[in-house]
Amino acid sequence: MRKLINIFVLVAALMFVFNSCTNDLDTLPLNDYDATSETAYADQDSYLSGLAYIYGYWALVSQNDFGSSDIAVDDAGQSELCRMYMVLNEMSTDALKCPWSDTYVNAIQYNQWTSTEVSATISVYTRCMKGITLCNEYLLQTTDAKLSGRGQSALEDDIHTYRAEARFNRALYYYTLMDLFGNPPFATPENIGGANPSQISRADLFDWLETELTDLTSDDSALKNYGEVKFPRVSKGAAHALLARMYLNAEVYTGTPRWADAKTQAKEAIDAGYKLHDNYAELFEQDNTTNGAVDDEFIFGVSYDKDKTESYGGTTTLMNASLSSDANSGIGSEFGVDLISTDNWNGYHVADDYVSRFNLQDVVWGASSGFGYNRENSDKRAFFYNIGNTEEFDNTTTASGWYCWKFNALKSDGTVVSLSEVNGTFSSSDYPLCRLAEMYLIYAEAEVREDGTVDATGLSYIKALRDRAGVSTPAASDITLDWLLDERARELMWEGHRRTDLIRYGYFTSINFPWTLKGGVMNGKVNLPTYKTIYPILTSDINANSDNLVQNPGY
Amino acid sequence: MKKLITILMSITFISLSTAFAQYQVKGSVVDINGESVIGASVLEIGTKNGTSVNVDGTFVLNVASQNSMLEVSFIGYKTIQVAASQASKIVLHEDSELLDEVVVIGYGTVKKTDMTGSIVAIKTDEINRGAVTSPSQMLMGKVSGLLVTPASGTPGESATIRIRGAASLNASNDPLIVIDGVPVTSDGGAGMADPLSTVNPDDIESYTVLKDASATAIYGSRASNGVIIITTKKGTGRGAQVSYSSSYSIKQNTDGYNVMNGDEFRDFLTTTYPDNTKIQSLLGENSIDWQDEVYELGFSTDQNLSVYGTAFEEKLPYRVSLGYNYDGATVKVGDNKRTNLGVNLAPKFLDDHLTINLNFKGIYQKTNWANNPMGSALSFDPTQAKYFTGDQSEVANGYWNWLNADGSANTLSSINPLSSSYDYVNKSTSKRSIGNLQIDYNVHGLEDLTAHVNLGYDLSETDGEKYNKLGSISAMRIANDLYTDYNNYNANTLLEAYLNYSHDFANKQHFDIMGGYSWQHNYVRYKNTLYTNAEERGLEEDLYQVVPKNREEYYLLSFYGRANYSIASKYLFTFTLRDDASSRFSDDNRWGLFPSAAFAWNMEKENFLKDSKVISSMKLRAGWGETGQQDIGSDYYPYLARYQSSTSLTMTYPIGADGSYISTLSPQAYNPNLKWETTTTYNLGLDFGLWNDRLTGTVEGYYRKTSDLLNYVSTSLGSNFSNTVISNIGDMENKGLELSFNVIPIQTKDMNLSIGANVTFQDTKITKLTSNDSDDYLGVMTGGGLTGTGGYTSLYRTDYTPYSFHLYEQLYDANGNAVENGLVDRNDDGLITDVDRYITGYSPTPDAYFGLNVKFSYKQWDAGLNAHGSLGNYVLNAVKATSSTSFSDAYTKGYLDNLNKDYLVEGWTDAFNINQYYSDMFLEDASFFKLDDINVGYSFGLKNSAVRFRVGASVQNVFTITKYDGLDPEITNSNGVDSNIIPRPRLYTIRLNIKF
Repeated sequence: MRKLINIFVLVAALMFVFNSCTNDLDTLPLNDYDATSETAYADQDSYLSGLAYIYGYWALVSQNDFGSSDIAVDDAGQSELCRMYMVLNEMSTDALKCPWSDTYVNAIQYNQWTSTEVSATISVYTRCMKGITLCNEYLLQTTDAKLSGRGQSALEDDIHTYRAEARFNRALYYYTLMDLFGNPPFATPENIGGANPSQISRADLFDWLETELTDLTSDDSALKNYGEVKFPRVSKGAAHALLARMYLNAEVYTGTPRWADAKTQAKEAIDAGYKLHDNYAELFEQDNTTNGAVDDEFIFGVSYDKDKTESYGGTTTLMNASLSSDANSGIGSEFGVDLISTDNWNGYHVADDYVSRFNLQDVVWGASSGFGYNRENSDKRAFFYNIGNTEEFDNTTTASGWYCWKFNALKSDGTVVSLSEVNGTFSSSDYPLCRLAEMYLIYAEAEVREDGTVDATGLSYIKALRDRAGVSTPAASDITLDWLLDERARELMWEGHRRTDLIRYGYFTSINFPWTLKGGVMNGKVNLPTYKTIYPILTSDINANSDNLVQNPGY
Repeated sequence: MKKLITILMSITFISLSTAFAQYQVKGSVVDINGESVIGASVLEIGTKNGTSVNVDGTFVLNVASQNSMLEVSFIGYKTIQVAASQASKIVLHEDSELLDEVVVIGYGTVKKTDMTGSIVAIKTDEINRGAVTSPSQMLMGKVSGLLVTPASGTPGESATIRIRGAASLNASNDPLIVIDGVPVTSDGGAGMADPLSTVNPDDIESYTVLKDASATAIYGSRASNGVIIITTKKGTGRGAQVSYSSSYSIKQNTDGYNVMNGDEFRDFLTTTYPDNTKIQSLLGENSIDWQDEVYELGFSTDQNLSVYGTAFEEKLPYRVSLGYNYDGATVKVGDNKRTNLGVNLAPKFLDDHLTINLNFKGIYQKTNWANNPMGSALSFDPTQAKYFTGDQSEVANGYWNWLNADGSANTLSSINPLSSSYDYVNKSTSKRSIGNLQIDYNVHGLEDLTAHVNLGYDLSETDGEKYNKLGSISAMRIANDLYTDYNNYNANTLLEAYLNYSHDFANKQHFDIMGGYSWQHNYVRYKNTLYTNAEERGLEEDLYQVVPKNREEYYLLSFYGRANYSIASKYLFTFTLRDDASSRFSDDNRWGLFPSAAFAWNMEKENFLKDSKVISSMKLRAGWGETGQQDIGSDYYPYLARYQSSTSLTMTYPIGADGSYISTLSPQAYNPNLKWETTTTYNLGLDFGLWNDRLTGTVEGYYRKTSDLLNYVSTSLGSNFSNTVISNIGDMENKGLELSFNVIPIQTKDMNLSIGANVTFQDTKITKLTSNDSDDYLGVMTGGGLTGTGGYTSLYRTDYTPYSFHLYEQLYDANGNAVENGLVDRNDDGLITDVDRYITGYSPTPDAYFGLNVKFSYKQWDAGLNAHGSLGNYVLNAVKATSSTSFSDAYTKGYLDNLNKDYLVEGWTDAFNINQYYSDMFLEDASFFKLDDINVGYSFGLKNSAVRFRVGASVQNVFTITKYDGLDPEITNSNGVDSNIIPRPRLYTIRLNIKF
């Protein structure tokens, strides 16, 4: 009997211990910053924080720091959306060449990309898709019903605007995918944690975007008007501007041109209240957020700050990637400063094909000082330098062709940001994804496309740009489509337009429009296969979503 | 008067002497062959009175009475106790004859003869060891199937241990380590990375390595990588005994890279670029060997003192030990200081029915982390000065460095190696304590039943700071120079209870069954606080960011049981079952069942072998079992849909009122279906002993299959918040054959020679990686680190070993010379792209690895050596790949980089296409044989004293035989890419042990 009691007592004691502990397994995160959607949005400030990542996703590679990425990529710094957007759109053309030997650089600059994904395509495609998913999740979490469920109905007015801005951002991510990849997955809020998204054709996506953006420009739209919100937040003008750009390229996207619509929407954007900033150089300087340039002229774009929005992409790359140490100090000395950019990565170059469109005055090669041309008498939009380089562009050395320092360390007062400042590597200048000047040029081009010549309004727009650049305006009859393409090259250099422009003009794949190293051929006299006008859908996404996704034709 | 005192004192002394020495023992000590055991120590128990056996094999000792107990011991023999009256002829038995040896296993012990699983027990002994700073070193090359890759030459760094290869790609591959019944965590934070280093090597009584699932399944979801159980020494014997050991080592670098000296570099550049004025203007006039500048002699010492015995009328066995270890680096500047305290009390109560076992281990460690200066020592321009002079003497703390025109730092150049060493500070202080209270109660009246309760804890905390010294070149180069204050805290608490019932039946059958419960809580707190680096560090106003990794916890709950059944000690059966739950998985996937079964047959007990003159023992073992791996990374809630609000002040966006900067909030990627990996193991082994166990050995084969292998697989974009999510989707196979032998060719009274050798052949391959695993799926690109950013070197691919190298094929010209930027265009599309890579078939995982241990003793002398090596492991020589061409466009960026003479390929003067770095010409066979240490010692006692001494000397890291071209074929990167590690030095050690 005693044995039995002993056993019973032991077992009872142990059973007591077991039962008290099984609930431990339901542990939840202990940290405040680690939350579920409901606990996160219990805080009213969270709605702006959620929108901040949607807007900021062009510049931020993660929520933590510039060296860690929130998606799987080779290198966090080189995965920034804005940096790789610029690579896909400019490096694939005559506007940008680079002697770095990174796989993606060579694949893109020699137009030799295949269905094999490279970090440039991975980053742009993945970040746009993630941006869309963030927007979808935001729209799910911010409905009036959700707000009322959390007792936050008082926030409705603000949040209607935030939701409209999230929808614009989603449209911009989709637009970018439509332009670059043609037929991306079409992700809706229902796909989050649910079924895989289906694929949408380029033409259908065009229709969806047209409806969505038109709705955002309507009187009912909760988007604010120009001046009511501060860049980088967007107002209705942004929706008009994106529509204008979409209509200008409608023939490429759908087969049907929409010149009149392009003109109408460009005019709407122009009349929204933006104005041409009087100094072209200031648009890209370190203090463009505060010198008036961004407020005047940027319709939508990416904000950077060397202390608060840090990134190894965007304008930090554009400022640092170009110059050798000699060029850096050489240009600096022309401005009475030590260095014109904070670092010398010595990569991005421009061949003479592109630079020659600027009609530079008194170009010399092999000089030991100056810029290599008479900058005083040249187009003010030219930021070039050739000292120490050979004219014959050879992409295997860094000492050939032109350097471009359009993005630099200068501030409006003539001083520079230097590397020795705190966070000096990083640029503070904001990057324009869309400026008023583009609307002027869209208006003029749509006019010429539609009517053969530019009208008085269009001519006045051209003149405004030419005057600011300190160059004369040609007669209306000389403003041909090709002249306008060159003017876009001058006005919008390295702002992410060149590839789209060349495709619209039919030049991108044509042997009749050669540029140095087009297709990897020195003289560039090659036809590119027409399927190269869009990039391949990521193989990894096709593998993960094989029931829905089909690779773009040709790849 | 003086005389009187002398006489009085003499009388007193004589009477005292006689009072304590009334009985004289004259005896001899022999082994089982009747040979004298010279040097054996004879001690009167409870006193310090003792002597040692002289060359005749006899001893004389005066003891208190004929009832006094004597303890007779000698290295290699089992210590025995005899009454003084019985001591005329004492026979010592050799250690290897200890057939009843008990081995510690999971939740219990087992007699060696009754083991059914693949279990290797190692008792530590003093003879065959060099200077050991970490317990993992003692295991190196000792056990088949156990691969220990030692840390680099950085003091404080931990070794890597793999049992039967890696079972996982993304989850932990570290074995579970159980110290005196407490499973310890392997992520104790910086400064405390190696859980083994918590234990003073000097305190370790034995290691048990559990290799197959029949032995490990009792540890369930943590056991798929094997288990190492460490048991520390306990108080034994009577009275108090003292043991002291002391060692001193000199550490020396033995090898370096063959980079150019100043003159060679000047000549080379002038010849190669005769017209380049820029280069000429950058060249300096000095000739500095930067490797010499950063290397230095290192010193280390180890001091251990322990007191053990029994107290309170032999009721309280106790052991207290104190250890101190100093380990200095062989590069400037770094060291590690460690102090260990160990206490064990093991009293018994209630007629020995109740045993209490109390363990306490404490460690206090201060580490000054060396900044690896190797990279800059190899590439920094040898023509430049060490220091700035004149006006510049204050710049960059005085260390000469590359500057831009505006005086700012050139961020792309390498930095002055002296600055790299002296201007960087990373210091940490770690405290850790592991302890437990174990209660065993043998139920009164039902002595077959034992209850066991174990309450344990493992607490650790590391506090540290790192920064660049103000004004240093590193501080100047970094965009945002920060001071980091880091603190990691880990609290692991444990409650376990089990009942064990054991019964012998009349017909030689034995049965025992054990059932228990375990609860474990693991809590981690990280706090990294970043401040702008300033004169006074850590001020609130300089706060930059609190890194968002704060508090995490997980719980493990388990029920487990084991049944053993044996017939006549001939047929042995073991069954185990564990039901495990981990809070890391969702409710639906939380619980998992891990069973195992094993059978062993002691064949020597059968009639057909009983009388064999040759075969002294033979056992056949077969086992099967399943184990799991719940340690799937540092995220403890990967199944949960979560939002993260960022605390970073540098990753904000200006959409607030008037452009104010707003921190971000974002949903995170997650996988609700996540669960543990499961490994199924089959094991078949034969243990044998021949010629009275002069030759013993084990031949063993295993097959392991890991299923639900975690892999980062692509997710359909738009449905989750990243492009990859970790999923249980793959399979992996491990096969192996292990052979181990121990032979004693010489065994006489004066001379003993014992040779142990083991070899493991292994084959690991991934058998599935994705759900549809088509041939088009290349696999997961991994490895890398060759060229700063991007790039990969290896694949996880189906049908291949993990980290199989995936490289370009090098093109050679007619003379067999490698062509620069000449790679084989395998798909003939005129381009060299990633698709032209091929799977080389080689991986960093060795096909075989082996260990060799030799022990030799002659009279009072002993000597030994330890060696290990591996075959078929390949290494990508990244140092060579990055220094094969003479071309460097560094000068266009305003600096110069030194070159390696050995690695320059003749005629290679162009810039590398990036793909050239990934050429198979840099892939090398890194098979090696290393003589880890040789040691020699001399043991002696003092006349009429129980004090015993051993003096020893050893050389560690003696030589390496390899074809590998780099510094050391044994690299610390699991991906097989050799980048510059701090070299492992050679150690010269002298050692003294004293016991009384």
